[in-house]
Amino acid sequence: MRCRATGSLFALAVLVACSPAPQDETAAQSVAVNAEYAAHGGDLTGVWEADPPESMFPYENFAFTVELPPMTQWAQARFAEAKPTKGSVEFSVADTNDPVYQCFPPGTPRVYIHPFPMEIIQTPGRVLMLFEYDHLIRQIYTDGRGHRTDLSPSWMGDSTGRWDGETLVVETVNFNDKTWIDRRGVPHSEELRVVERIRRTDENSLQIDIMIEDPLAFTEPWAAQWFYRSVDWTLDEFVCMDNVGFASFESELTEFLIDTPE
Amino acid sequence: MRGKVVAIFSVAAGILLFSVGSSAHHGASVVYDLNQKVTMTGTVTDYQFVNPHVLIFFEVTAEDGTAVVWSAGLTSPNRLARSDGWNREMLKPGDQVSILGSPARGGAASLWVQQVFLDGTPLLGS
Repeated sequence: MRCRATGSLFALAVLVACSPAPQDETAAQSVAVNAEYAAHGGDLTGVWEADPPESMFPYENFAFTVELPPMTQWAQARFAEAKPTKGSVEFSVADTNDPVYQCFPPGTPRVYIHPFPMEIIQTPGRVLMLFEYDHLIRQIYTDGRGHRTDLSPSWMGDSTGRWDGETLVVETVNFNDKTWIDRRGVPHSEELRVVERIRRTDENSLQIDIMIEDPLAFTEPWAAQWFYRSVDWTLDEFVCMDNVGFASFESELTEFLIDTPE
Repeated sequence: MRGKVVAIFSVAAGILLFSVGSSAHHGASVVYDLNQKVTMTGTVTDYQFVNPHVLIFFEVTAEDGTAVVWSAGLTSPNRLARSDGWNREMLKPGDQVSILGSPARGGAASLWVQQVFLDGTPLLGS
């Protein structure tokens, strides 16, 4: 079975899981599909910096929502084992088990929380999200392909997208279960499915409506929002492993002793 | 009695993964006492405009004549360049600086920076 670029596909609220076999298409058909998709949609291109509203300031550098998501018992048990650097209880970097502090990829959508800019580039058949943080890249395939079945579970997930007017609707699946949803330590399973609606709300503003679903981890789907403003910056470099390398300078730096009871 | 030895920046370095602004360094409270503010004045000995965070080393001379090299930590160079126009030439050895910041817990000679004054001129916007 092959995905067809018909109008009925786009009428569905849920993406149809088509057989992902772009390699079965002839070159001419691929070009035709790409051209059709490139002719639709909106323009999300540019460099974007997180710009949450003031109401989100108390938590926007560690969570998507002020309250905890509705977790199942399975998730609550894993959440209890988390040793986050931020949350109701805070651990030091030396004691945390947050995978980000070992420089593993943060996952989707947690990557949005990292306070470094993101750039969107649109090319026929793909929308690319580049992140200054660790030069992560999300490839959102908009050429009508379905999700892959030949990929191992991944940190950032497998993303496909379709245009709903000028809104890009992205579905991401095929996650491994090694990331945290947020910096507080909310867990998820390999069943995680993230649906995003990405659109410009005005010339200089981007809004992402996020729906997170994971029947193993959450009792019901829950929603969050993220906001960006347009900036005229270039995407530079921030390498997570520089934090680890920095420890090698500690002999040159001031050290202090923590008195601990025996 | 002496216990665990912790190098300040091996702990503080990870904080900068998530630094949003000088007011949001909640993680820095592990190493620095954010409720305190002190100003130290001295001569720059080293200025490192590097990731994960910018470091200023400056020699402070006490009243009794002893000199101690203090360290002062800020956010990443990416963010300082964009928000406050910092670059690799912002400071150099020999510059006279006064640095306002939160002192490290335990009395080590280190600050988490709130403001840097170069010959009296503030270098940070906020």
